[in-house]
Amino acid sequence: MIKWQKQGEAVVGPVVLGDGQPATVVLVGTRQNPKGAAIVLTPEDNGPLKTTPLNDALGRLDPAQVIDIVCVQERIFGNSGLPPAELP
Amino acid sequence: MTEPRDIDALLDEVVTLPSLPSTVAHITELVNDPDCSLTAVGRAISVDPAIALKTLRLVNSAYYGLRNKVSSVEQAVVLLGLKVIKNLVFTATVFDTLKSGVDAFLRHSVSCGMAMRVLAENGNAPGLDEDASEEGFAVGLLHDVGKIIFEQFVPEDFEKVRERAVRSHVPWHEAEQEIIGVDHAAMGARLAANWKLPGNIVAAIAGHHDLAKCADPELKGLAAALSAADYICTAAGAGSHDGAAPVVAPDVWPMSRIVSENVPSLLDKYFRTQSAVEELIQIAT
Repeated sequence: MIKWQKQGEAVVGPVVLGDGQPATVVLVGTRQNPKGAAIVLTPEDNGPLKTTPLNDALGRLDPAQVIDIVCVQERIFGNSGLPPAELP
Repeated sequence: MTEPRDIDALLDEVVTLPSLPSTVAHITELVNDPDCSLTAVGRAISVDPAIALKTLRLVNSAYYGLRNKVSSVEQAVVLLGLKVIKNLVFTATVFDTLKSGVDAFLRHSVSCGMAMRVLAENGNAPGLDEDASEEGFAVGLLHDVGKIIFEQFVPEDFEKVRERAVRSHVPWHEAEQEIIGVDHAAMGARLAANWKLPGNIVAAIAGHHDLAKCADPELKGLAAALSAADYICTAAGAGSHDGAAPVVAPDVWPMSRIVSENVPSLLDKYFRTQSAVEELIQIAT
């Protein structure tokens, strides 16, 4: 499971995409907000950071990673009554 | 402390599996009889006031979402049909077994049942019969019942398993194998077989942490779905035990036909079941 931590108002966690590229998941809002979850790709050779909305990157993640991300987003920002996530 | 041993030695010397209450065994026999009448099943349930009461609470819960209140067991049988009633009575009985566990365990079991129901309705639980969602709920509800048996009969070893899993981050079932000699999946499958549950349920419970332990290769998809449901409810905050995140084999996803692009909509359906989960936990306790 992804090791999540709080960074200000955001919740972040490291992932490795299906093609081996390291990235960071950044959660900032509800699932209804298209910008509520994003994947920040770690640049090679000090290039610019590239950010992709989660929904556009689903195919690069495995189902377990998507489950982790969506559940933690719902537990932190959602209102469906799931137990809140306790993060360091 | 017991020495690690195989399941037969454990059952011979330490563990006595709980028997299925005679009322439930009788109802199961009636439902499996093609000539059985709805009235006969209604009467058989009514004979046991505790099961009748729990059945009525369940049938009136958000889980079934019926518009009008059902006030008699006979009415419930007519409205829901025999197979649903069989699962409902079975659920009421399993609740009595599970309520002896810790709160987190009951929540995990009910949540996993609900996750399996969602997967079944979505076509992600291959190997279920025509009443897929009901059977899916039953297998999810029962999948970890082997842990209750260990907690009851080998409590010191069970505590060592907890310590090993939490402190060393060893998967729970592997810690059981090391310390007890048998894991809860094997013990739960043996209980399900003793209760004469359908073979697909027994096989799924046996293989939910290791698909290779699923006796029938045709049913590995169902064991994979159960493994996925276990993972979903743990990620959603209803894990069975602190510190023990389930490990999911990569082939679980293709075998249960779950692809990343469909996970958000699948989880939306699961999240919408949370009020029903809370109500079922209330009924169980």
